[in-house]
Amino acid sequence: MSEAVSSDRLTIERSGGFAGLTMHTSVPLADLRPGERAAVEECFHHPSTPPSGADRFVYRFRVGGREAVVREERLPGAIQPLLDRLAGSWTR
Amino acid sequence: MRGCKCQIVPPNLFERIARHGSQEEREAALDTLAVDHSIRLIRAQNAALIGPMAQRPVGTPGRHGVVHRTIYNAKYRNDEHATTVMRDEGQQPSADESANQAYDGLGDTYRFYWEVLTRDSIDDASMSLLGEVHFGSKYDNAFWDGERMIFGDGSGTLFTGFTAALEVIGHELTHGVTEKTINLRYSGQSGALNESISDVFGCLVKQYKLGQTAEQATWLVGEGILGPGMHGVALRSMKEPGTAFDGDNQPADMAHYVNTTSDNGGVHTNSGIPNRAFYLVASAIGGNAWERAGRIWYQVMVSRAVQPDCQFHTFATATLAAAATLYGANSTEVKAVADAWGTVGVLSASQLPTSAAVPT
Repeated sequence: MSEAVSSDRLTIERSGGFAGLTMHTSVPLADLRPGERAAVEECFHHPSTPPSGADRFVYRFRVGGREAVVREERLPGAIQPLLDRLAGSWTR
Repeated sequence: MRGCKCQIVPPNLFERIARHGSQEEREAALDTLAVDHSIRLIRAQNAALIGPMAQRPVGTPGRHGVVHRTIYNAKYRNDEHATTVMRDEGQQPSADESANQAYDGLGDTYRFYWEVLTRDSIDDASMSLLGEVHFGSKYDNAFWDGERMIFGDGSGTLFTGFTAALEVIGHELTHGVTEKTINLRYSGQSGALNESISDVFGCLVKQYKLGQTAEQATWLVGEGILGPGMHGVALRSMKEPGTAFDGDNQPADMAHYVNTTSDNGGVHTNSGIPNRAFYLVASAIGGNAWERAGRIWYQVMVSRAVQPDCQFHTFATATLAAAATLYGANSTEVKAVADAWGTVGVLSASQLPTSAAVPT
């Protein structure tokens, strides 16, 4: 992860999947909608879970010094609109 | 050591070195003894299990060999429990290309497992094969969710539809077979073995379908599904890990093992090492890779010779034992397996029980 982890941006890493590509994106916290902010916050309190099945994506969220790893199948539903909005912004 | 005729150095020599040698010599000797001990254990387990798993002829009473497939439509939603059926077993082709590719690919994979390995579906008990297509919006992935094989259409940039490559379908179904047999934990080395086994049998399904020998096959995984944002020929190369596309970082040997916390500890990265080991075995044996190399790997799975947290070294040892059980301790197959794991650096030269053995 080359990008500095800043306290005013949410950075997201998506790894795994059949392809095993590790992709990155980020968004200013100020651009998050209230429901999305709450969903991201929920991720930071998410208990770690073992993978179910195989080839699923794994998300890593970072804000400032905080980090959360959440499996695709355990993402809060309210975070999906944010991921849909960022769909075209992933870089390798 | 009795019964291990493949070893050219008398085992009691190793024991003497282990007791009286220098520190380095002692460690090497102890490693060798440990490998030999685990081979004998696994061989004994295999011998006990080989009876029931031995090749059952097609048509055995009570055995089916009849596939049942259902393909569901996720309708571009992240819905793993979609209920709209696009094509059920025996129905005419759908107007939807992805649905037909999934239906045909699951059929080809079923046929491979039944005709080659006499395995009756994922659970070896006629389990229905459930496929789901058009998962998510521009979803760049295919996965096994524990019940279904689920395929995205791809973003069109990184990937196009995942049902277009037969080895991808075979890969996903094989995750189910692994789950029902050795259930390798999806993390670190055991996860990379889980991934590798899916690549191995995914490729074998394709080779069997195309009638390709080990020499003729491409050994590529994810051929023909790369979008314009990916530069290369496929996602992974079992023959030359790390060369399939511009961002391919798969290692080809243990010296380049990648330590990472992403992707469950690099399960899709370090799978390059056991992938190449399998390719080397198949290519050294020659002919159709599913006949002997594939059977050795399958023997490890079906005899449950390893535990879920199995590491590369233990798996390598188990394949050696399986090869010895199936083809004899002095066989060319055992030598091919030993040489392959030596080449990728999983077993060091001093650990190879057959490294100096020449079949006579």
